[in-house]
Amino acid sequence: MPRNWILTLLTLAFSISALPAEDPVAQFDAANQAYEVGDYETAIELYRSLENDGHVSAPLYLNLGNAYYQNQQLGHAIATYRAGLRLAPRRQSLVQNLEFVLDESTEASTPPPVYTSFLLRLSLNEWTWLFVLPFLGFSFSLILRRLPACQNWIRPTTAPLGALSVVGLIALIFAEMEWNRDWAVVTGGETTARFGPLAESKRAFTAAETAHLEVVDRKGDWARIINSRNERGWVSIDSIDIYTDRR
Amino acid sequence: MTPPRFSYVRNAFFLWLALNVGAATTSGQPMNDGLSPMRSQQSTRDPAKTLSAELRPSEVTLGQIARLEVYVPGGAPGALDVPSVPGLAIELNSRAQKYEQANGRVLKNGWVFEYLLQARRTGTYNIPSIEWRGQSTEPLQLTVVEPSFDIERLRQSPANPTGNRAFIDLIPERDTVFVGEPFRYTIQIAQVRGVVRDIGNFQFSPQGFTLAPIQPDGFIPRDETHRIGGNDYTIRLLSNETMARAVKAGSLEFGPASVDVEFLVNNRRNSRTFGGLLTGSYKSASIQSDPVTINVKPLPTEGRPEEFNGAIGQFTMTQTVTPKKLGVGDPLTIEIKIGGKGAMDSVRLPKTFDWPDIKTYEPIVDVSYSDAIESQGVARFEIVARPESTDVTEIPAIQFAYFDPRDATYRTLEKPPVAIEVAANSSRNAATEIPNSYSAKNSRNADERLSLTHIQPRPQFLARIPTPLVYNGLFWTIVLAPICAYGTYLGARKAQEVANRDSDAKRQREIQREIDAQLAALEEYAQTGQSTEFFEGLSVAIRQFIGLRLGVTPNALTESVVYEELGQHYEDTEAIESLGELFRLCDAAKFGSGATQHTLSERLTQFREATAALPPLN
Repeated sequence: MPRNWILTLLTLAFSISALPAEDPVAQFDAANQAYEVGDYETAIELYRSLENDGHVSAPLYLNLGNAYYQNQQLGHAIATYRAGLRLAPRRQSLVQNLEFVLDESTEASTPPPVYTSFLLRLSLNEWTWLFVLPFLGFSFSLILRRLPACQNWIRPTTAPLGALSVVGLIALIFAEMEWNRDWAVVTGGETTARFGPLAESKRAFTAAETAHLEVVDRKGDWARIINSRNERGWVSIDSIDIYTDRR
Repeated sequence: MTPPRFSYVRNAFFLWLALNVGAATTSGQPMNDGLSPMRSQQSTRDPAKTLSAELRPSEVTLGQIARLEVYVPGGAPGALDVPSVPGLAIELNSRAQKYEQANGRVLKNGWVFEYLLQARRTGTYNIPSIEWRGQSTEPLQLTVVEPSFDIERLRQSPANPTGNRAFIDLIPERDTVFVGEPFRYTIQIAQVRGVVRDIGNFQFSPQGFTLAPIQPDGFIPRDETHRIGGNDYTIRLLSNETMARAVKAGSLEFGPASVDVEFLVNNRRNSRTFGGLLTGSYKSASIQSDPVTINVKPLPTEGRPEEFNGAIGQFTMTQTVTPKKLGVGDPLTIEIKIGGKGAMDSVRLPKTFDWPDIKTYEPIVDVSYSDAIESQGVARFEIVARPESTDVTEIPAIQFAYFDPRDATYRTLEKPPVAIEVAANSSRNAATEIPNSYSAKNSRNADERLSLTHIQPRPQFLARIPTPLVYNGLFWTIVLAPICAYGTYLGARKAQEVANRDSDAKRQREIQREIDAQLAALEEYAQTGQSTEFFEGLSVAIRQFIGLRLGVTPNALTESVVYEELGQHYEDTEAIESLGELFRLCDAAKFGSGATQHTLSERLTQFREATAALPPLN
């Protein structure tokens, strides 16, 4: 009897995995094929479908960004590359394509502050390990100091490891704050930022397509943003791509 | 209100002045003010005493009112004889006294007659000299041009929501255009002077047309007045630069344009209460222009060159090629500038050129405009080409075709072939010679090969997007476990030490209490002379005291221990000796002491002094 149950479960599992519509790799290949023949809209649709189903990776974001670029949707392309860099911050292909598209966009690319670039150079997990490893070393050095056999060689390591732990902790706190900020890219042409989250609100400023904006608040279909000139306003969420939401 | 007395004096003064002036002019002599003979000569140059006329403005649009001001020196001039001009209606509007003085000198002292002039047709009107008592004005000329505003239409327009206090008018430059051909248009608002307070919510989005960006200056007032139906209308113009293009052929409706105006109703401007402004109230209404039909013609198919790809306007072309001597595979740059007037964004070149043995890349396009409505400018094309053979001796001719809507014909611009020399061996690395600007700008296909990383074949999907470790409670539990264990160990040890200290203190307090009780008993034994009980009790007290001070068991104490242990911790040998002596006496008393009450009391005092000299150890 138990053998029958196992067979039934195995058969069911095999059947589910064999469904073509559920195969993300096949869908990825189909999207690549559409891209290669120049059907960029189909490629975008298939890549986005994979992303919405939770099948994400740096190559997916690279390919999707390329498809957006070829479809002349520069804002979406930039947002997609940046979303990919959140997964793999130092992926050379993503960095290169992002720089390429930024160079081509009409909006002057304002480089982010040095500390922001520095903190986003490593992933949040990498910053966590940069704190945790010296901290564990510090913890064990304190414990081993109690053992007479280890006292001589372990004692000089305690203070440096403690100092490294403090520096690592401060860096982790700032990195966590930086990684939790929401960013968006203007898509679909120039957009108007208003003083309030209403279409009737007065115009505050305009943001060109591909402009990089920080999202500081949201209300309904509106997002409060800050641009590189530190101007604040509300824009419709439809006019921007909040790529940090793709986590 | 002028007081009657002053009014009488003033009238008398002007009457006297008029008589003087009349006498002077009728006699044919210069006006003599009676002050000096030279004054009569100067009087012709003295502006205060010279007849003059001024026309404002000297050029008007048809329907617009011009004002003719005639200054008559002196007083009570009566009526002026202004000659009639054919086609020009001249009407006396007002007559007022005028007196002007500057730096103590009288500039004007007389009367000003204001006439309103309105022409029936366009043209130039000569206004002859106006004669008055021997003086005459210079002849004047009024130019009347076609109005930019459809006055007649407004004149015939039915009442709109503002009661004809304001109109909006949409005037395209032409009513027949080709598809894609830029044309200008104007939108104007005419409003009764001083009645409209606010203008807003401008709406204009004609179907089938694209509009050049409208400058956000709003409606700009113009120095222009028109009289319609007894009211003076002032004009506001929406930007000086507006341009539109039709995107499809057919009879298309251009407009309407609408705007919201806030205007004064129940206007009693002639009221004496603050000019009537307080007696009126404001009301909002939307006014709308009449739609204008524009006939949009398709571009003719006859005579359309092969090279034509949609450019409309009037253009010129220049071309440069650099370098002209290069190696096989080396890049050269062909720069083509097409400038002129028209739809600049329609100026395009082919993406690639099918030239034998020359590989070309898609051009970089850079369009610069010389006006705000993007109706004229220069499109600059930068084409990178690589000769792939030494047989290449020239860059072939490049042609550019456009449609000129002025005469509805296609024209083709052509630059002749440019000779180049291609050497067999390239001394340069071709892969690095593409200009930087080329690799950075609009050349999709070529750029992809040069800079854009191609799509990846393998998805490398993540099983799931992991929650960052920083938010993982289990992770932090493991990381913090060693330090927590160490802290727990340290804490437990500290607590044990504290507990031990507390235990010792408690025991010492108990022993001290026992010693105190023993001393009380010894006091009683000493007073009653019970020597045996006294020394037994004293022995117990000494042992307890030493045990308390040294932390040892009292029963195991011997005399040698007393000396050695106390000697190690205390320096007061006299007190130690005293305790040792008492210790020996106690041992000896076991065999009978027979001490008196006095002796017992002394021993008790000796014990108290010795114990006082040996305080507790730290």
